[in-house]
Amino acid sequence: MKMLNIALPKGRLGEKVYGMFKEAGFPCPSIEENNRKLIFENEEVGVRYFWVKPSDVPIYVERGVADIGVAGKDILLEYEPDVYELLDLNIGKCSMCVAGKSNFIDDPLKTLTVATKFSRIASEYYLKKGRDIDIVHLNGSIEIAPILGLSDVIVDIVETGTTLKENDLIVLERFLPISARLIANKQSFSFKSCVIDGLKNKLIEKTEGNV
Amino acid sequence: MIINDSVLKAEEKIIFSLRSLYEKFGYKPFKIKKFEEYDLYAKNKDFLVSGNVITFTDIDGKLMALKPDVTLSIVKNSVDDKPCKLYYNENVYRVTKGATSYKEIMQAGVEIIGDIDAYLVYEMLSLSALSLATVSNEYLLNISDLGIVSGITGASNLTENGKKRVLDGITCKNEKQVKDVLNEENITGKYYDAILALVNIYGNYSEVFSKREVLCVNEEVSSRVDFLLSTVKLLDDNGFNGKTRIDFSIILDTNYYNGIVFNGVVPGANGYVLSGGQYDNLMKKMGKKQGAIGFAVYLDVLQKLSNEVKKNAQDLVILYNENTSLIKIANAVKKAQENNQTVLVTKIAPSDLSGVNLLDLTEGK
Repeated sequence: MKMLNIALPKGRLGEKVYGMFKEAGFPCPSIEENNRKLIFENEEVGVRYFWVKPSDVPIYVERGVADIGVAGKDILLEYEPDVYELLDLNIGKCSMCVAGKSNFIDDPLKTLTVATKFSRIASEYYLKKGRDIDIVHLNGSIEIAPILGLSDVIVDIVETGTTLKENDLIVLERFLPISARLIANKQSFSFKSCVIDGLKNKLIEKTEGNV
Repeated sequence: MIINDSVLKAEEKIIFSLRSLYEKFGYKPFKIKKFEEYDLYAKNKDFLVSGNVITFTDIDGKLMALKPDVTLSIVKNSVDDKPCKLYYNENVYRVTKGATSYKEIMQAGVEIIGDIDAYLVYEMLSLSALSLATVSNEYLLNISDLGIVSGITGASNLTENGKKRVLDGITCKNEKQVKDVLNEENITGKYYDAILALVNIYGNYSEVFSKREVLCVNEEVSSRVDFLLSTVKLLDDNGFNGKTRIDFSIILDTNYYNGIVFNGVVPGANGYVLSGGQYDNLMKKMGKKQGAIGFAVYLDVLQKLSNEVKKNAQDLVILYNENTSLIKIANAVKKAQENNQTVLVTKIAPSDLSGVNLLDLTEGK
């Protein structure tokens, strides 16, 4: 039996996704044991799961090590992997936002400095607006950039807004809804479309409740 | 001359098999220079797998490029009213996706220049399938027809921007994105159903045949659907049953391609092993009167597939020193080669001698 290889994003979202996959007929008891292993198999149902860093899921899938995986729309837009995007799972919902200090006033005559983890998304957003910007690419703690004067604003994903509030920042604009997507390797899909479609259809039943 | 094929690398064996396959169908080898004028690629950048090209200035001041592609050279050299069937295997120089440096990639391929009729499309598809069979017993040939995709999207009332987003959605099988665009642009009825079908209909001949009606929005598209299905049926009936698959997510740039487009997959290979299509539009763009169809086999993708573990290169290692008689060494070598053994004569024993016989002829120590 051919194994279906699934890359799950480490963390709360991944655990929720595993729960959905389990209900859809792909349980893997060993993954539920509390240990530090990263690869889990259930030969009986023909599935192999592995936990990877969320932003690496598209890489595992694009390179065919994983047949399918779950990744946030933010990561898919930022890295543009050549994969199929089969389903919006309607979980892990948040928005891509522009945020800044509460007293921020945009001066259109000046180049806007934008700190972000999502350089491509930010560039495209401001390109569409015709706004000249200077990107400061950061890998974490984006919120402190405007406070320390590293940037005028930030472009980042916002779920509840608590972190922003605690750092005296406000959302200036929400411009892109984000949620978790089921993605598939294009070559694997040719060979395993029956299994993947079966899983997808069961997930559709589950995700309708998440809308 | 007898060639011992155990000395060939997996991709070299494949190249030889492909060459004999193409020769069997009457294709002639095509050899090009390593360099072309950069202008050729600059004008057709989107046709290339990657836009990066290695350039240099020739002695006469012309900007030249190390060829990143072979098809453009074949098209450039084609002569109107002279149809031809060509094959090549050449090194090309380009950047693969995600890589940070240029790579030399061995590429094989086939092109037909001429009036592309139903038979030639069939021949090209069956040659593709046979090429894939050379690589692996387990393979699939995915086939689409851009005439169907652009026929449906073109006849709908989608705006240019909407069309682009719909095509992106079809390429990624992203039903949500396609639905969103269709709803935003108030596309309803048979066009709504047909465009969604381009995302959701795929599979073997019978799977697509049973659902074909929804695609047939007008006469032109219907005849393309019939042509696609009958071609796939003919392939299935001629030895490729279970190896063909229809999938409309194969969308190549319509500035260059039209009609049938296809790609080939084998399990374990990361990426498409083979990709091709009919490119009458490129011919037109380059001022040529004939049509064309062809495909390339990406041998770099195959390299990763080869599981051959290179064993020690020699069967016998002969160790000698300055005191060893020359005649003794020469005789030992002759004897080994008569026994079909590969032999390495050396003063310093290799560090890894696993599976190797050692003949120590050192003397006087």
